[in-house]
Amino acid sequence: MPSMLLFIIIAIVFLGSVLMLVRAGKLKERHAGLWLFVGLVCIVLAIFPQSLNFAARLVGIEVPANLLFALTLLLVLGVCLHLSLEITTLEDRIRRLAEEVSLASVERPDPTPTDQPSVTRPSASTEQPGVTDQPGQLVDPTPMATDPDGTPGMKPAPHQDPSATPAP
Amino acid sequence: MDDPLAISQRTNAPKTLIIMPAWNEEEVIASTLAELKSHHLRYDIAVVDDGSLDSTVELARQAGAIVIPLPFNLGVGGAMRCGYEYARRHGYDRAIQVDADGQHDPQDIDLVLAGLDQADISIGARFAQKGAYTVHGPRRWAMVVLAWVLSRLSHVRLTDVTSGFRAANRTAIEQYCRYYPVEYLGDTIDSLVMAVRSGLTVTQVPVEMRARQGGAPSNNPFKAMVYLVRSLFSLAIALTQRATSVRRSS
Repeated sequence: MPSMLLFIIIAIVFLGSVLMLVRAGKLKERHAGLWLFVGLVCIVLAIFPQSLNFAARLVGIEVPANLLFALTLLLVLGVCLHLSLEITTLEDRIRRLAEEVSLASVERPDPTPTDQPSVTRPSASTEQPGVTDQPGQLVDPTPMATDPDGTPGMKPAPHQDPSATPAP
Repeated sequence: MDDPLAISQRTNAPKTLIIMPAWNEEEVIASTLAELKSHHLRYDIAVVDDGSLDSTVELARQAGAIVIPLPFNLGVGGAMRCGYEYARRHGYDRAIQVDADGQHDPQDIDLVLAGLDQADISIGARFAQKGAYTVHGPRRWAMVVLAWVLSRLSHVRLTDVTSGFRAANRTAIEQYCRYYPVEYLGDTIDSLVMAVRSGLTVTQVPVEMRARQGGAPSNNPFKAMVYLVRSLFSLAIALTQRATSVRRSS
C-alpha cells in the first residue's frame, strides 16, 4: 500500500508543520485547532480508507472521492468566510486606533481652559510655521482656549484671525 | 470632558464645529478655508486629514484650522466619524460637514445650521428648487429611490439624501459616534437611515451647489451604475439592521 503510506506521510508533515508554526508563535492556537483537526482527519482517512466509503454510502454519494472533494470545498469556503470576518474585525479595530491616534495628536497641545491659560495663549497666537514640520507635534489652534471667558465677542481668538497666521 | 460642556452652557451661542474631511485637497483647501474664515469667524473649523500625501495638512494649519491627522486613508465615512468624535469629546453643540473642494457655499452654512432648530439633522439639499445642480442616468435614479425611501422613513419630504452638506445637533453627534458606518456611502445613506430609525428627526434646507474648484465630477456611466447598485444594497442592509437606541438629550 504505497499510496496509503504517501498520504500518511503528507498528513504527518502537515500536522508537524502546523505544530511547529504554533510553537514558533506564528500561528495562534485558536486558529491552529481547525488545522490540527484537518490533519487528524487526513491521517484517519489515510489509515482507514474504507471509512470514506462508509461515509459516502451513509449520505448517498456514489463515488466516495466526491464526498471528499465536497467536504474539502466546504472547509475552504468556511475558512475563507472566517478570514473575511476576522479582517472586518481587524479593520474596525485599526480604524478605531487611527481615530484615537489622530484625536490624541490633536488634543495633546490642547490646554484645558482652566489649567494653564498663560502658557497656551502666547504659543497659540505666535504660531510659528516652522514648528509644524514635525508630524507628531501640532500647532493646535486651541479651540477650547477661546471659550473660557464666556464672552464670545471679546475673545482674542488667535487662530480665527485669517490675517494673523500667514505673516511670519 | 465636562469642561467644554459647562462652558457652552454658560454662553448662549451654541458651540459650533465645521468638520471638513480632506484627502489630497491642496489645490483648493486654502481658498476654501480662507472663504470660510471670512464668513464664519465664530465657528471652529476642524480639517480631518484623511491620510493626504500632499501639503493639505500644512495648508490647513497655516489657515488656522484644527487639524485632525488620520494616519492613513479611511474614506469620507471614517474621516467624518472621527470629526464627530472630536466634536463630541470637545462638547460641541452643533457640527456641520462642509466639503473641502468649495462645493458648499459658506453663506449657506448658517441656513443649514438653522435647520437644527426643527430637527436633529439638517441636510443642505441640492435639488430643492435652488441652483442648477442636475444629475442624470443611474446616479439620478439612485438618488430618487433613496430620497423616496428616506422620506417615507422620516415622514419629511427629502429630495437629496446623499448630500454631504449636513449639520447635526448634540443628539445627532452622539448618534453618529455610536453608529456611523465607514463603508461605501455609509456616511450619507446608512448613517441617515440609522439615525432616523433611532428616532432622530431630519429636515432639509435648499442650498445652491457651486462648481468644484478642483477635481472633476465623475460622469462615467459604469461608475454611475455601480453607484446605483451599491447605494441600494447599502440602503437595503441599513433597513434590515437593528436600530441602535439613542437617548434624547432634551
